Amino acid sequence: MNNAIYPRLPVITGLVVAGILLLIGLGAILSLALTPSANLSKTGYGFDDFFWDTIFWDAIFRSLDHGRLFYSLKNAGLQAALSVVFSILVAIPASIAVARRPHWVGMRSLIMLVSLAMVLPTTVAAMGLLAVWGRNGIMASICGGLCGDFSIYGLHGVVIAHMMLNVPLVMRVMIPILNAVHQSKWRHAALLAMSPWQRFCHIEWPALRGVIPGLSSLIFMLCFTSFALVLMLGGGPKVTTLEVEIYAAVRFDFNLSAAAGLSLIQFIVMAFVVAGFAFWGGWQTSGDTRIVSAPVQRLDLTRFDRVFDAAVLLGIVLLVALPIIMVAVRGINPDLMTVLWRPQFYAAAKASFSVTFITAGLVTILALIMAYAKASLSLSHRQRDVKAAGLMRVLLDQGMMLYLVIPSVVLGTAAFIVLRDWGDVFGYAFAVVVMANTLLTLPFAYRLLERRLVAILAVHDRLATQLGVTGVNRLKVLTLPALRHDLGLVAGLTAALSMGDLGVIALFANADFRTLPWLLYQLSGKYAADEAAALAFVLMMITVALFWLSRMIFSRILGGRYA
Amino acid sequence: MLKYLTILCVAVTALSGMAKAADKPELVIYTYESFAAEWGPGPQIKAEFEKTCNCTVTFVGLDSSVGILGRLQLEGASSKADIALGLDTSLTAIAAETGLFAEHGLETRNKLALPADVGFWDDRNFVPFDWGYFAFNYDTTRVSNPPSSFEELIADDQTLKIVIQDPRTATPGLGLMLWVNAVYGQKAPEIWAKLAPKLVTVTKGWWDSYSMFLEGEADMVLSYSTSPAYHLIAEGKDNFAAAPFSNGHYMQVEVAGVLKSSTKPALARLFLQKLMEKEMQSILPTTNWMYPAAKAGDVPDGFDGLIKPEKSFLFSPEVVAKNRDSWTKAWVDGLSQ
Repeated sequence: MNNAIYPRLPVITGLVVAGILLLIGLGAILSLALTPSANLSKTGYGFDDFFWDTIFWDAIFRSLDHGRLFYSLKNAGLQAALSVVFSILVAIPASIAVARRPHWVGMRSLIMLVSLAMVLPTTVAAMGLLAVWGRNGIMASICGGLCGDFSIYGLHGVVIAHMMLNVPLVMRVMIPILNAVHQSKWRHAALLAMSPWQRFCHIEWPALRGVIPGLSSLIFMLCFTSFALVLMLGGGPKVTTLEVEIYAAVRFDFNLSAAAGLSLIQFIVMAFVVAGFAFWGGWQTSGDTRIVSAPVQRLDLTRFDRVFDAAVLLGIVLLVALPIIMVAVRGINPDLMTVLWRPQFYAAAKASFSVTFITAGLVTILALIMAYAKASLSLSHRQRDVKAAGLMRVLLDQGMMLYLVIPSVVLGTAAFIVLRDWGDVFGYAFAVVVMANTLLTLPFAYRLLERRLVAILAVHDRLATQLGVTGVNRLKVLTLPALRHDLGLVAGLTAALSMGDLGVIALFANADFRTLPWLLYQLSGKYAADEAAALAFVLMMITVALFWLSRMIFSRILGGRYA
Repeated sequence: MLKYLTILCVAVTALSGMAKAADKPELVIYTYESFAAEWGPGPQIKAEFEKTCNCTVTFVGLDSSVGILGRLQLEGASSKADIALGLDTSLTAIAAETGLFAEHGLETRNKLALPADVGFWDDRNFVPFDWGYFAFNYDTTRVSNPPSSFEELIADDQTLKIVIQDPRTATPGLGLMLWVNAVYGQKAPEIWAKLAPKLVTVTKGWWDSYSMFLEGEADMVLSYSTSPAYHLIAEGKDNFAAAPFSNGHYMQVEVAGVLKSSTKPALARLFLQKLMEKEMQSILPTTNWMYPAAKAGDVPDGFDGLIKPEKSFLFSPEVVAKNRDSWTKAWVDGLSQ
């Protein structure tokens, strides 16, 4: 530590990694922009030409003419903002309810089911949602004609679907925080006979508010760039995102520079949004820093709370759990065996598992580095350094998040362009998919780890430094054991997310390498609804197993005697 | 030591090179995924050709027919592909413009079984291998009185809900856009505006739509007139049908072409020739679920009950290439109202 205000090594390492990630993202856009478009017989553009002609005139003004660019941006922005607000608004009471009712029947299964929503391919999740809320869904058959003309299709449908996918994520972050609130606070609430609202204002909100900016920025980005789901539930081209235009530019028009231009616009817009959120949350340090969570006795709860929790949890069941159950119900059909017996299934499962394990390992390590850097920055207490530290934190957040706004079709095409000079492109399929999945899942992992590390460092840092426990030793003895549950969750989530991803694999799948989501895509090319549903179910079960496995592994390895 | 190693390396390389030369030539065919898949036509066609060609056929399944063209444009003249199979006529003008394709040199006169409206097949780069009509499909147990024209489909008192695909992302979606423009020309934007309230939604891909239809989310889905044949032959279900429209139907014609950069042009042309013959043509209906393009092909019994439109449309590739942008804009604007 010496005289440094914050430990330099973790910060520098983190910043370097963030820089590399940003370069990959921008490099992808650039390599598309520099590839001559539409017709390879035309000569390629030089950098100057590209900058002035290609991107700006061709892409921006071509779209501006028809207002489509602004229209898409405005539309995607509104939709994403609504998704963020409602996801957070629903997740807060839901997290509070789950956290204080650990003994309610079925709570563990509910948490499990809710976690699954995060990792299903989005269109599969959407089909589950439709099975509950669609025209032919459960709700429509229960309420019959009474519900009138309720239709899930439209802007509200897209927002609901995004809530289904994101509320679980927010809950995953918030529940441990609530569990970590010290028992004495709840005791005081009981002694002072606080109303539920007072309790929320004085205990729960202060504990939770620190994570909201980071989560909001993540959700905003996911929703802003959502694609197949938006089209499926949007009810028509009125509800759209820029991603649709980018996809069309790459695939149908083969206008790579237009795609690069549109991606760059999306990138810039997102950079501002992320920076905004980061500044909002940047200077807030953590409220409660307790690390180990033990079951807390709650004497402060009233009958009102019981009714409230029941209502909130029923809402979560309808919004998230029931659609997931419907995916499972559909999947358990006679074709389940057919799917499992296909040799392609084993080949795809093998590929998926290799990708998943490597990605999970890589992401856990990278996320730890980045989160450690950010946590180290928040140790700085001297006024003079706060601003610099704040800026660096923003940079970390940026590097982390912005990959999410590079469409996978752009990343995949860029990887292709770069690799085509290096021999058989398909030979790199594995590496490319691992890279894409790493970039995709890193932001989630980072968000899950960063808060906990801040809390852990705040508690351990001074004492450990005074005792001379530093460097690798401290990591081994203190930090990692304290983080073991979180690392398990991160590894599990990463594994699950990368198991379900159907991004760049669309460009790199081939006879020798295909993943389970790709097999799902293949099956759907042959009208086989039952087989596709069965495979979606299998994918879901594998995900559950991965979650369980990685939590177990991390608890075992790091559990040790120091924990 | 190093010297011996070098000699060894050179020797091994030379030997393996010789071994390769003695191997059968490999014919690389780029196609879309469902053609190359184990349950698609790919494996049977490969086996059929390999019987006589003394070569190895390798199908490379790309994510979609547009993906084939995208891949070729990225690879340019260095592509390993000898043949591109599975482009359709809305893409062939762009494909021809890349200059990557060679003339097929096959005589197609009097050999094709395409509807008469298509006229004379004069494309020198591409030969058609199968075709079908775009059509709105429905479940006869749920819909008893399907619309029989676009006028009926968009009529105010028509309450059926339909699901279609985005022309910017899916081939059938593009097909519907061309269909409406073929029927209504300048009036197409009005049709989109009237169609908007009938839509459940517009999806990214064909399967998203079709699975929503199967689950009862929509009464009708934009698909192919041959889709009911799948349910009949593969699943034994006879409750699916395509609605015949008196306006006529737009066609999809799928084509194959030889790449200029191919190192085995003769073998590639032989493949195209065989592709048009009875054996291979008869594989297509029950694996790719389309009509064979050559007269030589057999059509199975399950295809008898399918609709037989009296009028069919197919724009020339040049017309599609010229108008696609402005028609897409009209589509977006019309449906967004």
